[in-house]
Amino acid sequence: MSAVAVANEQSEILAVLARPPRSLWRDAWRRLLSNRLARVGMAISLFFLLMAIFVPFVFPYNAKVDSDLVNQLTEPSREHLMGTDEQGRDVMNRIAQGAQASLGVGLSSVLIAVVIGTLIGLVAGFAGRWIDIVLMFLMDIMLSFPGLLLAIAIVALVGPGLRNSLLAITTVSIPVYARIARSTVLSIKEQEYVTAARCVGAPSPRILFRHVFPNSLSPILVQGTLGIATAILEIAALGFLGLGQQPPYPEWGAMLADSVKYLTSGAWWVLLFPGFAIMLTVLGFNLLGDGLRDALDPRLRVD
Amino acid sequence: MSTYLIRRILYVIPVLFIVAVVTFVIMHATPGGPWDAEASKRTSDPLFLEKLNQRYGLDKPLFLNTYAFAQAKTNGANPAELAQALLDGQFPNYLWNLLHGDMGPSLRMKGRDVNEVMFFSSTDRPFWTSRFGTTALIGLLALGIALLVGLPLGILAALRHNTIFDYGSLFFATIGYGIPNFVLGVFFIIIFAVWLEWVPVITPAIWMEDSNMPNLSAAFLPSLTLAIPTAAYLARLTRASVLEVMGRDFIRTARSKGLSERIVVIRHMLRNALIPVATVIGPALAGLVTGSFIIENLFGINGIGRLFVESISRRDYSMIMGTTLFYALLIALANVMVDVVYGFLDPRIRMK
Repeated sequence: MSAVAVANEQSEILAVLARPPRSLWRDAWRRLLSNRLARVGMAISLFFLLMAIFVPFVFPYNAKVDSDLVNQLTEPSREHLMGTDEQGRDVMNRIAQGAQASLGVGLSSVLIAVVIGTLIGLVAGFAGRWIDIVLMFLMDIMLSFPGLLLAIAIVALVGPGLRNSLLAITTVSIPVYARIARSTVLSIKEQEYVTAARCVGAPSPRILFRHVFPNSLSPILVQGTLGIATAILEIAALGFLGLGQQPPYPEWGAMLADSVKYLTSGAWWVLLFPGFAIMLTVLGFNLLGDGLRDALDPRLRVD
Repeated sequence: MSTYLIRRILYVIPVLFIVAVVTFVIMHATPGGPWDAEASKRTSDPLFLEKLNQRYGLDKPLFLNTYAFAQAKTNGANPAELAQALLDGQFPNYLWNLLHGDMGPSLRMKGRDVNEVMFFSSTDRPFWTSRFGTTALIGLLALGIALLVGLPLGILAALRHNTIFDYGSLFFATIGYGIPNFVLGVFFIIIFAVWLEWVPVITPAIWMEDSNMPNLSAAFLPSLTLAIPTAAYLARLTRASVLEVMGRDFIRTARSKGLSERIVVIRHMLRNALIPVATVIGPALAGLVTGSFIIENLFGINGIGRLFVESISRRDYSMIMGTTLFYALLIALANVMVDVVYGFLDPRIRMK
């Protein structure tokens, strides 16, 4: 190898070294942005998120006085782009105002469930022995109820309402995160850097939160995003069964349930648009979750 | 294998027991009771209520009857009688009757047993016209549709990887998996009943008065609605599985032996690729049957799911227990089936 070639190679290496360091998260972010479906999912999720945050502020809405009995069940027109419902309320406005219920409960239930579930899973996986057995047995019992049925039972117990459906949905999803956190911890626990930390005398809580937790974050993040979609679906289902948000406050599932009886009179718009809202939000978070999974763990990609 | 199977099946028993305990506790902790759920028929006569409670054993303690126990003790009863007195609570009595196949009388449907309401039709007609039969029919039809749609889509997508077929089926799978079934049901009703007017808006009864055969045209739309998310899931799973098998060495070996493409695909590729798919069929069916309660409510079908939702709001205690245990049994058995089918189809997996 000539001296020039060596010098070239050295300068190339230096150039690589001079680049800003690429962290795992930044790499994942780049992969996420390069995925078309994930971008679509992100756009949809962001759209509804912004709707949920800003619409109630910009257009204050008082559900209790909103009715226009002259314009009951009018077809979509220029004045009411998505028509009006059985009380003459503008369907588009109610969908926009209802985003707060779905997204708010969806996000907060996932956040709470992730925190509690991860904590349970981390402790179970890290402590092992009887703590693990007891905690995971409890989680298995919760999982042996079908999710929505357990949520219905909890809502029946504490009474219908949005806050109570938040409680129900959160409780139901805790075991999912606990199981994921536990299984990741079990594999991370055997990694060499954990042994190394133990060798230098790091106390267990420190190992748990400094080494194990950050490395088990990505599957939980993916599941959490997919979980938002599930939670939104469950809120709508509870609302549809009359157990979620109570009238007159707008919520997509409840809007569907209130309007099903008008199908015989051919009023499709009171059902189609809230249905689309539910479908799109669920789709958006599902796409985003799938994209995150591909971005965070490229090995899992099937193609 | 057989000891493994027996152990897996025995594991169902504690799971069901705990589900029963949890349901029982939640149910009794819920405000209200079977006698006051309907305001119009509310009775306030305490004597009457007391008689009702006595008749259905609701005046006894929930779990352990310490009162009867103490009484028996002062009367100097023998240990067997003592145990009997102690276990004379609502829950132990329920379990005892359940072990004899008796789920007790319904508290809200006058003069009818839970068994009868769930598994037998009202008149002297075959049992498959019962609520259970209705739910099972919808579930099985949905499973059939899901398999007929999901498998070919998944296989096609994998064999024509990165073509329009692939993207099309992926699109279907993504949309179909995310869409809640009550929304899909509403869309179907709007499209097929309101716009196209192919079917009536109000779904007719699945079991006609004069026939013991199901009215399949009435069952079709609910089954299709129920099937779509499962079809999407199966398509995704099949696609991934076929893609994975396609790259294996034994496929290359089969091709280099000069086997025809058809035989390579059917005998070598699909046989292996469908193993993971076969294992999810059990849980898929359980999911379809337990997930049908929203569909049953939407289409007004008299199945177990509707019974479940109704019995919760009417506080029909024995009916709640019956339907919940039925669901839990289905799910538990489906999970057992996964393990068993897996071991059966893939001899490489050793049963411990």
